[in-house]
Amino acid sequence: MAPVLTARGLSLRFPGAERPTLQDFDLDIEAGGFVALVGGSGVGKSTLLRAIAGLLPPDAGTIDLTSPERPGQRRRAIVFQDGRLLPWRTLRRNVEYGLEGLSLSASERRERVDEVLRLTRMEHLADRYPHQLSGGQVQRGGIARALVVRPDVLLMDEPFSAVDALTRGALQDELLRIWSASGAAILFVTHDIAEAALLSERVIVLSGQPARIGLDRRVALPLEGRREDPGFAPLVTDIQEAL
Amino acid sequence: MSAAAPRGMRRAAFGAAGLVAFVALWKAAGSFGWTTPGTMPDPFLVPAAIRDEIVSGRLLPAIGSSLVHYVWGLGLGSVLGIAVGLATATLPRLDAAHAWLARILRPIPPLAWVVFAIAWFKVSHAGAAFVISIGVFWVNYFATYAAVRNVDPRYHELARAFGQGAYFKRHRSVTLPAASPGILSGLRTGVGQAWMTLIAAELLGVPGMGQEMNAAAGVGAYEAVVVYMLAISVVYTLSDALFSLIEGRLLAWRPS
Repeated sequence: MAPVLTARGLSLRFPGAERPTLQDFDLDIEAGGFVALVGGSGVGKSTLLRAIAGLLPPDAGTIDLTSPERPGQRRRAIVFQDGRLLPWRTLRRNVEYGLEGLSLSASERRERVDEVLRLTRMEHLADRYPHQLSGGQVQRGGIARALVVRPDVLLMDEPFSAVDALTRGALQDELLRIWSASGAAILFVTHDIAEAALLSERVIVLSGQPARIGLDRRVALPLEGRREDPGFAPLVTDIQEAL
Repeated sequence: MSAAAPRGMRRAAFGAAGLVAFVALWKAAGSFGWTTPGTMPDPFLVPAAIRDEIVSGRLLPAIGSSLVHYVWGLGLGSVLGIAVGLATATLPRLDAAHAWLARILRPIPPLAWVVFAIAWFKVSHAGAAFVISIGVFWVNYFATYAAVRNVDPRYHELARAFGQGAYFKRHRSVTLPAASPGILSGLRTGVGQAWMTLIAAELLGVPGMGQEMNAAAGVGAYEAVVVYMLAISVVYTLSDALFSLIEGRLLAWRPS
């Protein structure tokens, strides 16, 4: 499938750092794909994600979103590790924040917000403030805010790392359902090997400094019952070895 | 009846007892000559003094006149204080350019500006409002500056991620709401500060409660002075309660 995002020759060095975090780094993300980006702490996976999100200008290289921007859309959207809902806005107004600045009528906005609240199964929580939501609901709110802009690429920065194991499992199932319904490509940053192996169609392992791709593996295992599949354990071992 | 009700009544009884004890002490101070003779008002003559001030047509116009100074001084000082605090906290060059100036001007008490208020505005409503606005300005400036500087930078990142990164869009959509508790706290402090400066500014002779107090004291009518002191207390309490109501509505999103 054609790439929806291409990064070429990316280099990035933080001020005062001995070595660059990224150097001459290339990456392609296919349309509609689910790519997990795995790596140890400080390897640069969140840095890469923030550069792709346009939040961190690289010192060199290019990041191109290949699809044309449609009206009422942002081609990329990010889900932060901490959910990052604005505490002074209700869930509905937080989701709507993604749409501010886009040329949409009030009724279009309302429909779009309703649509993603339904998709994330949060219609009944629309009028609550973030402090009235659980950790998992805050994360789903962050996903809804990103999806409402109908992105071609959804960037997710360890979105489930701050929730308990039970909630995480539920959110992972939810994410797969949302992914298949939305059609967006997902670049999912995680340090959890099992999570990467469980959710993705492709696993990229980052290691070293500057970061390089230690493993780029397509995952052909079925999503349904993947954990019990005989190919799951070898995949996890391969990822572990590449780290 | 719930357990909270008797507790509340007990508190009210203690409050009333404290008030009665204070009035008794006040009366004793006058009766036993603890102060310079003729300078201690009699608390039991205060109700009559209130009636006299209303009937004579002095009290209500004085309150009205003071409110004009108050509203203008408070409004002007608050708007300018918030605007300058916001601008200096968000524009690094302006911040650097104003830092020394703020350090020099801040310690000057508002009443020190009275000389210039008279020179520029004569003894007028504008002069009183000017002096009040200076005190209110600094309170709001510092509160806004600190509140804006303390806004979580992650909100700015969020704004940039969702196309709200431009200066006005970012500060309208995240900085102002995130800083609003601190800004409102400054506004509320300004509401009290303005009353304190107001009376001093009016002692110069600008019509208002301060001037009436000065005039009453000049003829030894200390009960009338107490009337104006009580009027200040009532108007301040009302304005603070009103502000508290507005603040509560604006900050309804905060966990209680």
